[in-house]
Amino acid sequence: MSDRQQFEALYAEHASAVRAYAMRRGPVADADDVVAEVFLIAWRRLQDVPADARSWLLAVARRVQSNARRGSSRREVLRARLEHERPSAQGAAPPVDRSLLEALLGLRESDREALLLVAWEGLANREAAQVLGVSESTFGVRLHRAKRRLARALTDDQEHAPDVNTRLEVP
Amino acid sequence: MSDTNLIERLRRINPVPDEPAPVPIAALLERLDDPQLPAAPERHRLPSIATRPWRRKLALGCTAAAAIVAALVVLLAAPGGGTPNVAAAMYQATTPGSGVLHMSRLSEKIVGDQTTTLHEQFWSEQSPRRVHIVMTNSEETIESALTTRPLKLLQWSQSNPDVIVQSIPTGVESTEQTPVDVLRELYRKGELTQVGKSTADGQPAWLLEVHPTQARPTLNGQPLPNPMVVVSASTFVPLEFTESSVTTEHGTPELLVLKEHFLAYEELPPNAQDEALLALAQHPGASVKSEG
Repeated sequence: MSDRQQFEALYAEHASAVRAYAMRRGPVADADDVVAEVFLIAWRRLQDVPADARSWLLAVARRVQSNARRGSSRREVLRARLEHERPSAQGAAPPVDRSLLEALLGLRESDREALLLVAWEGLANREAAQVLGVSESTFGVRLHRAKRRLARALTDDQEHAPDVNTRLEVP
Repeated sequence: MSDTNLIERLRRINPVPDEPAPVPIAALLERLDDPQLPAAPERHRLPSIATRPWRRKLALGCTAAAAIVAALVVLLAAPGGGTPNVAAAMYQATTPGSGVLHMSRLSEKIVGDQTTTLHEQFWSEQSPRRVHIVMTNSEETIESALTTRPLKLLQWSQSNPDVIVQSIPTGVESTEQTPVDVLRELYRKGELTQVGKSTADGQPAWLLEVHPTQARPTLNGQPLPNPMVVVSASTFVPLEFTESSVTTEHGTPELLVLKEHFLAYEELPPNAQDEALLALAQHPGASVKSEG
């Protein structure tokens, strides 16, 4: 199989997962740019992509998106403001479990990402550990603590129970 | 609540529950032979100033004190009168305290001979995170206020003055950043390089160049210049930020220059009067509409 065929097979198998990851973590409008950049990096480093490629690709997506988030928050938001347009809504979203979302936002990024890799990306601990670049046992401890902190935050939030249920919107 | 229930509850708020179809690969295949393919993003080490607790403790709660600290950082970083570490001083001078941070920014978007301007005022508080923004362009004023506990976004616009829209910002990284937060992030990532002296409105200033880890966009085969930050030589707060990019809003690729002028940067004492600046103003007669 040529490099190009190998690359096309990689894209066919994993592009959807990378796109979903990007859409879950940042603006939908930026997701395709993130996917393109992740796979261009994969093409350049094709020999480094492991057989179990999904975790490797998501780890790259995580760093790409971290960089892109800074750029987009500066350029795109400002540009949108300059053009007197409110940013567009990010597609249909499920009803919000507001207390859970608030508790999630209150966690440290590392705790939040550990939880979301399992809950949203559906990764096993071994795969999630690869995305974060830590050992499986370290990830297990991190996930356990993240669950505990989230549960504690939810308990604290009960005193501030939400009074409305609203759709997610772009600020 | 059991671990299983918690994960299941998280699954139910997944904003993209099913994997979307991938975009066709054709456009990507055309780019594979581009010599300027992006490099893998690096993991950044924090510059030393951000990792030394004794220096972090120097952060004080008002702009004047922060400027003094920033000057100390410059002196500490430049024993014997060498080149000062202006990026570190800028970071230190903009470390938020417990008060209400007020910023004012005038932005210009320049495409060809067309310039669009926008004036924004920001008031922000760190804990709980609250950001209040009033932005005015040539046509109207739009006001928004974000609070994170409870998570809520209120928006009001002059063109629709009878309604205040209440919603929840999307995504897990949705907290609104202020312009200075963005510049501080550049420092944390080690992307600021001091390149020399400058002036801004006749006042002495320092010039910092941004070296992004991502490849710069190109126009007509030439990479665009790196973004630049102008920092006050006396207070070390940012005065200007300039960034170039490529736009196709008129159908063909064109240079787009964003120039941000920071007109005010001050930290107000944490009292009830200044706290009120974080809230959306009471617009007479406007009803609150919850979207959803």
